[in-house]
Amino acid sequence: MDQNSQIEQILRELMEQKPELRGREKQLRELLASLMAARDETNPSPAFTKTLRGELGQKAKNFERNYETKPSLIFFSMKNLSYILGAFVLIAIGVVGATVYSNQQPSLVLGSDVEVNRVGANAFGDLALAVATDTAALGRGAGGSGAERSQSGGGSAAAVPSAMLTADKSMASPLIYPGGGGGGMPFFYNYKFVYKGEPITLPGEQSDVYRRVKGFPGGADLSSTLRGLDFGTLNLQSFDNMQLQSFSMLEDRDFGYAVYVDMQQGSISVSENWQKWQTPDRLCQDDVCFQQNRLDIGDIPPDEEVVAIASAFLSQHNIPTDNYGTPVVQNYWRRDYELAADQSFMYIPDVVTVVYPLRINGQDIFDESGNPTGLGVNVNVRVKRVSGLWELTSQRYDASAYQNETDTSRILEIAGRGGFRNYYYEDPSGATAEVELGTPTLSYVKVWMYDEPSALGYELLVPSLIFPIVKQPENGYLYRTSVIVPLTKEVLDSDQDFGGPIPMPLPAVMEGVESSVVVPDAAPPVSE
Amino acid sequence: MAMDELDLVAKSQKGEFEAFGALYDAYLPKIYRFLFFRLRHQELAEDLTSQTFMKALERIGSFDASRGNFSSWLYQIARNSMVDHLRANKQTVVLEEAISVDSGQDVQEEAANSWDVARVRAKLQDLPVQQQEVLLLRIFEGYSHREIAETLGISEGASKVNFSRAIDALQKFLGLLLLSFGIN
Repeated sequence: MDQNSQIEQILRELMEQKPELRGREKQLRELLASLMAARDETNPSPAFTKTLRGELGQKAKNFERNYETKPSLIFFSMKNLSYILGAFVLIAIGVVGATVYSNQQPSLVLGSDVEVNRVGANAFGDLALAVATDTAALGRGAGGSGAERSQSGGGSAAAVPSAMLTADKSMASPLIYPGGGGGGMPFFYNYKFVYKGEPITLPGEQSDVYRRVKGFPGGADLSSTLRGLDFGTLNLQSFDNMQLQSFSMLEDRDFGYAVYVDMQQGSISVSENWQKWQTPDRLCQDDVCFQQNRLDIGDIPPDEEVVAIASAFLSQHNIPTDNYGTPVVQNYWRRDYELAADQSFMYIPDVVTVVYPLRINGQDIFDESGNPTGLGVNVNVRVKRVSGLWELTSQRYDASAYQNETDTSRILEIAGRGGFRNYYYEDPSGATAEVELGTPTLSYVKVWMYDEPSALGYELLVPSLIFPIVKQPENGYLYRTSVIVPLTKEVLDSDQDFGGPIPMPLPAVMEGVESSVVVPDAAPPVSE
Repeated sequence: MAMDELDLVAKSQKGEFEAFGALYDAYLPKIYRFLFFRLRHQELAEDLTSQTFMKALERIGSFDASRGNFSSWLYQIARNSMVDHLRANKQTVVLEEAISVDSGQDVQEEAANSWDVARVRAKLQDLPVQQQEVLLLRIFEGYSHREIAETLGISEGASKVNFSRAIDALQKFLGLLLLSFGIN
């Protein structure tokens, strides 16, 4: 309710209560407006807000330490996977059993609607510290969400350029990769990013940063139900404040699935129940068998067919796509294939990834490499079935205003380095290829932050400029279509010690491969 | 109490700091303002706000939603913290200086600005405590009288009466001020 409406409502209440006040509306309006004006000057300072939050977090952490129950590591180190699967099944039986026992259906609704809750400015703490800590401590690269995927169990090689999949064959290929190549052509390319767009227009001094709210609505109910379980040899009731963190269920049929529900992250992923996915290539014991089962380029269905398989799976399992844009097939490998002099050497993947780009408030969300990010679906083209799904998460966010970088020259300087966290290698002996950047658009980029007090990782959506690569280098090829520069000042500051080229390390000598690299006597200094 | 808030409280009771953090985000400005307008002292308000949330974090496990809402519980902690502090220190709460009118200023302009923030704040200090609290929650926080009643543990009718009396008092103050400038 805006101020005027609030004043009018209060006036109506007062008139109803004391009709004799009629005729004095003007004075009352002034009085109420003055009272409301006093409110704005009495907010707690951002510094105090941040400090107290940190202190509370530390106190909460101390509580956690006091109450921490140490899980049995022996359980998770068992090599026999069937034990683990058995344990999962046990949990699944427990969930179902407890549900039946209590004759209640726990309401676990992850929800698909985007909900944004506005919180105070700078509410997520110092982002420079948090984002930098995340990168350094957790060892995450520019790809960002590796840890999330491994946690959710639905990991995928989707974001991995196929150059990595071609392995040693690429070394003998005339194809040129960033950091790899051969055939008498330059082994290594240094990329120079040149801005060719219009003068940049920046938004205001502050913009909202979004943080996804983790957790699973209704999770407490399920935890409460499970806490009552008694396994005969162990009674869960004997523990204090037990919380269900995750559970997994297996579909017991050919080409069945494993569904993993992460209560803490508020995410669901689907992967193959590998025991039930026995395609002929997986039974191969020798190279002859492997070669016989290699896919041919003709085995790859058209993108439309792959998208149709993915979309049918989502529809079949009631997975809404309202918040996602038009699905795109990630097919970087096709470019490698088309450029390869001898295509028979090229590895044709048997899994094709479809990404349903996440959209929030009508804006596409990108990853740190500038690719659309969102719900990922893997399609196994051998059997033309979906083999995995990840990043199906709750879409509840807290929004907090943060200071923007307003120095255009700094933004262009970072774009010229290849953007945020562009840890590319530079080899003075390599050739330099020019990459042209066009006029940027403003959108949101998903980055990871590490929250010190809670010791948890969070997804942040940070307002960023997306510089499209309008001209790829003629010889080299970048596995990206844009360059990202976050606008949030603290996030940008976190990159100060990491941005810029890194001296190319000494190449490992590979048996049977003659390197054309000229190794300098001493590594060049790191550029600022 | 909204389901979301109940859910956050339940999670907080189970040790999820993220949930408590969300409650903190929602209530910090309100609690701070509540204390500041009673104390008129920034550092003191910050200290007592810190105490309030520290105590809330310590005691969240004992909060019983069936006996009242979280908002009321939190305000009660803030109020008790303030009372304890004042008793222990036996301090006179710092009040803004009395209104002084610069004789060099234009009388008409002074009259027009008679409801400026400083005057309103100063006058608020003269109101009975419960009237201050009701006014603060109704005007500053936009609470309905039902919500105020729940928060302060009074009836909805009492909330309305206190609010009406506070407005009356401030209006009379306005009248006196205008008279002091020779305006009727």
